[in-house]
Amino acid sequence: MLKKISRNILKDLYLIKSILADNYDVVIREFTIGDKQQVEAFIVFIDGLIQENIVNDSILRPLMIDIRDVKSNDFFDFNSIKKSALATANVREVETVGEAVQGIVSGNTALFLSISDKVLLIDNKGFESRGIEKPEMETVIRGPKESFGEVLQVNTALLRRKIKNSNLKLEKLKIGEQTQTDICIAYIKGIANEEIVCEVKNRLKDIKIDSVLESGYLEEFIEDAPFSPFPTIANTEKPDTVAGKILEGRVAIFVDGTPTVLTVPHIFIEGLMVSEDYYSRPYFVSIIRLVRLGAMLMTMLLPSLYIAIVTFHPELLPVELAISLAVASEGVPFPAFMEVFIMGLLFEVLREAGVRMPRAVGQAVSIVGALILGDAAIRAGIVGAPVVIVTALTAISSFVVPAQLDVLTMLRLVFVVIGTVMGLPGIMIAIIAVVIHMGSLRSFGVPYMVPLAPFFAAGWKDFVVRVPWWAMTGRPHLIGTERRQRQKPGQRPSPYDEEIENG
Amino acid sequence: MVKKILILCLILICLMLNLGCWNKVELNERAFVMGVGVDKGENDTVKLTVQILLPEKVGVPSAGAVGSDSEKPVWVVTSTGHTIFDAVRNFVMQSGRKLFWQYNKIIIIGEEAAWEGILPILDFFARDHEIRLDNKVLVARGKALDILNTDHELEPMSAVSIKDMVEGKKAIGTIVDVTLFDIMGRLTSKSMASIASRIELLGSEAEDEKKLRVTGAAVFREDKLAGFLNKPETRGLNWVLGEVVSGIIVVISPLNPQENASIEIIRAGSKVKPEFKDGYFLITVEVNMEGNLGEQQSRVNLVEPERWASLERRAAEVIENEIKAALEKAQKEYKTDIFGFGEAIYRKFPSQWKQIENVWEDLFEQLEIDLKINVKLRRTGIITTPVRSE
Repeated sequence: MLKKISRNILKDLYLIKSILADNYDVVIREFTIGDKQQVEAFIVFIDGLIQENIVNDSILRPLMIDIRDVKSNDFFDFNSIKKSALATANVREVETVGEAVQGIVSGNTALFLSISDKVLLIDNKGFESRGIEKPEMETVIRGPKESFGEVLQVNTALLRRKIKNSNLKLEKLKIGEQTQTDICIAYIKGIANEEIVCEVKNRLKDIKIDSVLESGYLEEFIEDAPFSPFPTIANTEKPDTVAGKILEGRVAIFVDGTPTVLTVPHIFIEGLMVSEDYYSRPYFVSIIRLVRLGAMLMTMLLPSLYIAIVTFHPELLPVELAISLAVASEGVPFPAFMEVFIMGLLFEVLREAGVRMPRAVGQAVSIVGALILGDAAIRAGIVGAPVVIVTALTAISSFVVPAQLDVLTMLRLVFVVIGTVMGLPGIMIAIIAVVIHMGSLRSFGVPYMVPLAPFFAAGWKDFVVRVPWWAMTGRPHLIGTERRQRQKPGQRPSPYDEEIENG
Repeated sequence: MVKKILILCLILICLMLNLGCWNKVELNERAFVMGVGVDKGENDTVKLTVQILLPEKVGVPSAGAVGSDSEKPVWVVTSTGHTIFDAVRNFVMQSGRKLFWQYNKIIIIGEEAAWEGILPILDFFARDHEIRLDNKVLVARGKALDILNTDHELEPMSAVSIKDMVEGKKAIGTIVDVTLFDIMGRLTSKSMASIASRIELLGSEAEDEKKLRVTGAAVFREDKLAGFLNKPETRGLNWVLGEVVSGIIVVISPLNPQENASIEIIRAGSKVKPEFKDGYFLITVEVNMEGNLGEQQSRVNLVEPERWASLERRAAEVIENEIKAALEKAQKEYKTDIFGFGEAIYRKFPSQWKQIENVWEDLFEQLEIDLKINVKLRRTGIITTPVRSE
């Protein structure tokens, strides 16, 4: 493959044909350039990856037809063809067959000439892709409603549209022996920590992998704690979220072919944040963040607390509630653990069915699920009503923090088992263990629980509550280069400023 | 490394499966005790009566069935044993489920058992970890069994309604609200005598006509029942203890002796000040009461300053009489220091107390008590004078 391209055009043609044999979509067009000085040439491209009108109008027409009209200069060579004949923007020269073939399969058009031992790769990529659509995972009410698509260039352009700054660096590399997938690392020079950028690049470069079909492939190779249930790398499909994170000093990793973009370093509290938090007025946002925190704890702990209290510590309940629970569990054949386990399992089945099923049968699943889980199971005396309520609350709360869904579901199961076996002391021990584990995690050198541990008082401005923008004067600690000022302090709007200035 | 982790997991699983779960009891395997009554049984035994909750009949919609109105949601069971704990365990023979005491609200002691002493009875309740210290302790006129067998119209479980009645002390002041904690505290004290709420059955002979009533107080000497206080005496006791929260004082209307006026107690407090004078102890009880004019039957304008002051004097007189009645009963009849005067002296004069400690019971009978009653009436309600005043 490292073979040099020769001036013998027939030899080149044979070589290309043999390399790209058995491919119906390869198009090879041979033609002759010029009238008096005839130059043999051929172009190779892959049907469907290129814009054909560019090939016709900007490559073939100038070379085959227009060049004959140029009377002034009858003589032409490789450079004059490249410089004055080809009417396309992105053209580069390659010297080996391997590079040429790689260019062709990536969607370039290769121009072989008998007068040169170089090949011109003309970038006229153009293929059908999905347009920019609304985000499916991260829906917002206020704020941009565009989401990344599958095409890397479109995705990086979406980001560039948000940050019109030459310091926004988009570095490209290829990963995947077979797929040769384009990866792009995005960061802002001067805000992002150089060491973290370097670390990201090094970790990515060390990946020797067959294929990269989604950013998850990379995530598993570069994450800090592969055995932890907690993710140390965030992902998002919203350009504004990526822009916000990059502006805080993070590094984003785009992968061609997927709308999911990775951002590092990832700290715990990011899981409770959404981009809308920064667009809406801060007071309600702060309440909602607390609600999310509560929902997170609820979805993690509620089933286990229910089991532990009902089977070991019913004295914790108010008497009326205890009576109701006792009434409901009268005649239920299973212990509380089995009830919770069965309902939890059924819910996970329903959820998975809801995600995977074809849209057309959606109604059937929800009706069957609601009827069976909600009503019939209680009437038949298989489970008690409180367990259905607990399962429903757990399920609803889990959707409040979608970013943490998987880790919370896993931990919930652990807590349920421990709560069944050891009651509240067991749950307490498990909570302590989880907190210790979270405290020990790091993401690209940044402690997972920052700004809680290590403690940064200023970091609490954007933690469980968010203060107004004019008060958030600094960027988050430890993530960017150093503690840099984000905006000038003292910008709180006030009606008296002008009066004072005017004396 | 992997081997070590595997062994650790194995040990953890074994530990959890072998040690965990052993004391887990599902909700539907428990019998919730709502109230317990202790009576004297035959041949030196104790007879225990419990109200056990029947969850299906509470009226919470469960699987299909809704509690029917005719049936009581409680099951009253009686068991006997040589000791309280013995009798408690003997319930299993009838109930099949182990009794769960965390929701127990009341401990009723039958009169007959109370005459013989409550310490042997309450020991179990104070010792067992399942019983809360906020259980109300009551003494029944008659048998505790009969009290627990009587229904109450407002609450399906009469034990809960009895607890509510005892807590009604806040509004009325003529009953006492005594928890297990309070009574154990008083039993610990050498000089202070115990008190307990008193409950009785009212009404005709017919079984289902009977009504429950909590009224007055039961008074103990040491741990044995000494007697009962009636309503004014009980409020007299509460005045001294500073336990009156609210209530109505009925006074004779100034200028109009055949008409009454009601004064609502808004705030009340008391101070017990022991003094040591010429080798004698003297107790000053200062009671401060603030009230509103809540009602008047006469047409006289009571808001006029001298009439208002007269009203205050009359209220003070009522309070004084109530306290005197309580003191009379305690000092002369029952000879038991339910007011905690001994404690007050001990706190202020610990060295002198040591000398009189052993003769306190005799001393208490002769103890001179000085009463200072301050009444302040504040407001008249929405209307000041009667709508047709003279």
